[in-house]
Amino acid sequence: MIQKKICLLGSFSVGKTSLISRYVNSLFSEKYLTTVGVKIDKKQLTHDGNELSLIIWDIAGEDDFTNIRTAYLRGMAGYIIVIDGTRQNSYDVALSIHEMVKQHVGELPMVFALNKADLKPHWQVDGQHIRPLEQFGYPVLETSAKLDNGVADIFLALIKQWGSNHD
Amino acid sequence: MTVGTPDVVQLRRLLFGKDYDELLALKEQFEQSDKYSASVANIISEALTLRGSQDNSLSDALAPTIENALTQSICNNPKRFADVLYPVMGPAIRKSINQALSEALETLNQVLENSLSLRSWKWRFDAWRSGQTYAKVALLNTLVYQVEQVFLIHRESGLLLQHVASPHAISKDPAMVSGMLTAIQDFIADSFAVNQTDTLRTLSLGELTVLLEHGPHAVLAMVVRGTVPADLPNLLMETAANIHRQYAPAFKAFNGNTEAFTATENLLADCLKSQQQHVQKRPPWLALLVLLSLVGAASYLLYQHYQQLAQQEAEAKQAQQQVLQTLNERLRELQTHTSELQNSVTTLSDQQRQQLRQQTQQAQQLTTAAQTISKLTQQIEASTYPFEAGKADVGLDDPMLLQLGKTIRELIQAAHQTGKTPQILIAGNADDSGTNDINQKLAELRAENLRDALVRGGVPAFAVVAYSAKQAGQPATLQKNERSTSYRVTLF
Ligand SMILES: Nc1nc2c(ncn2[C@@H]2O[C@H](COP(=O)(O)OP(=O)(O)OP(=O)(O)O)[C@@H](O)[C@H]2O)c(=O)[nH]1
Ligand SMILES: [Mg+2]
Repeated sequence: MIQKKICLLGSFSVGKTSLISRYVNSLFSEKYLTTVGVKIDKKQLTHDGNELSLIIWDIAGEDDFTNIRTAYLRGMAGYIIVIDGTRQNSYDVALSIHEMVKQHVGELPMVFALNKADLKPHWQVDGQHIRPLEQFGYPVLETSAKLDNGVADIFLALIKQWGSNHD
Repeated sequence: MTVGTPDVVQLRRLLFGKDYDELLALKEQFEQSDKYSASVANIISEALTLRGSQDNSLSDALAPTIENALTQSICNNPKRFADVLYPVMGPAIRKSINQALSEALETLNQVLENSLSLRSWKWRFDAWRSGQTYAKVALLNTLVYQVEQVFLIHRESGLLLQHVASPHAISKDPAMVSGMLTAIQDFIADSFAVNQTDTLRTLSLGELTVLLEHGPHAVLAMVVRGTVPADLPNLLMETAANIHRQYAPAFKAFNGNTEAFTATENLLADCLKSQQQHVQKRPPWLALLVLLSLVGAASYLLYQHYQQLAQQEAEAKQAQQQVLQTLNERLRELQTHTSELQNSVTTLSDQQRQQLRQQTQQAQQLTTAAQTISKLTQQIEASTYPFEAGKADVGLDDPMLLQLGKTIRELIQAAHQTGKTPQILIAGNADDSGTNDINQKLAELRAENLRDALVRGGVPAFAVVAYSAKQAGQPATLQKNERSTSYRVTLF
């Protein structure tokens, strides 16, 4: 059995916990309970005939990216940066975090998730923001934890990168 | 073997002298494997002994080979091993069976002991309250300590490499726990700006202690319930060191595949130690006391209940009895009345009967008396006394006279019963021979003489009157023309 540690990063309230809860427990709640510190979940799946166990670290979002405890990132096999489409600020935070991770941990498989796709009319993030993200060479996917759109896809996109580049 | 042309050989000889031959011999020894083997063979035992005394690396190095060799050898010829092991296996099996049996007995003993003690009831209550099984609560309470879980955690990623747990331990998904344990350490190390080499060694929460041993590649975490004994951290340290030594290459190659660490299970399982409290064997006084007081209370309540019932019954009985008594009294009164009535009735009837009887008796007596009187009267009136002609003498001992006297006395007696007194008229008669005067006198004399004779014979004088029938005014029936006396009875 293969185990992988992955981290969900991003500004506060972008929907990190909601995406994990949707992916692992198929649940969604409108209620916002901010994460304190870190919470760990596990998702087991089969990929390409291999038993895979994802240990998902849900790390509290903080706007000052330097506050993200780099210690939590040690040993991860990849990460997902979540952006709240309705908040321009969460996009800026995402860029800072991406930079910070590259500096501290190095290049790793990763995915950008543009969350709250169900609220697209209210989005502050548009094509002009998305193109630079795509230029990093990592998948940029729209998701909705509320409607269960694209949630499994972001995790799958990460898993696929291990299959090709690493291991 | 020599190398080069004979000239060169000669030159070398000149240069190195005898040493050259020795060098050649040495070279030959290394190049020819049989000769090299022969020389190693001379020192191999000594070399192994020497290295074995220095460190453990020899065992670590040889273990895989020996394991493989043994496995192969057993596969090839199992019988030979069975034969070799037979003398060892027999006693070992017997010993282990004995031990299993005695352990089972001990467990049974403990169960019996615990099931009666006060403590066990507390445990039962705790089990009920906390929703755990009784067995678990009992076990937890009799343990001094128990290592419930051991985690082998990849230090860098916090991924779980191996996990073992004791049968009664409650455990969340160990993979997540492993991650959290790592996150906690990261959090603490990060938050309190400690020296980078410092590590979290223990966590404790209530009865639980988590002991952590950090190796270069892995963290060994031990979850202990109860009081951690002093030798437990040492065991943890040794196990961690052992794992690092044996699995160094596996750690280096780790990419998330935990299969390489499957075999660490045995090493971790050796850490699942526990120690049970030495339970003193003493009679379960408290339990008995509680039981007794319960029984006592129950019997007291029962007693009271029955007492109450009895009292009620008694009261009811008393009331009944009172009613009965009054009834009885009334009855008795009635009975007395009745008996009085009966008595009076009886006395009445008795009196009547007596009266009747008396009357009857009297009547009968009267009747018999009257009958006797009339009979006697007839006898008296029928009797005569024959006088001699012209004479008036009466023989006192004449049987007829005696008989007459007796009859008269009887008559008097009988007449007495009827309350009457008889009077017997004795009338003297004379025949026609003679003169009237003489005859009258003679008749008178004859009657008087007879009367005197009767009186003398015992007849009361008042009962007999003598007179002459020839006297005027006398009834004609008494006048008889004969020399006799006739009698006439009258009752007054
Ligand atoms: N409409 C909509 N709301 C969402 C979606 N995902 C999350 N939310 C809401 O956004 C709020 C925050 O979600 P969380 O998942 O708690 O956000 P987070 O990133 O974990 O926040 P922190 O833990 O504070 O860092 C909640 O009220 C969610 O219901 C989505 O896809 N659509
Ligand atoms: Mg959260």
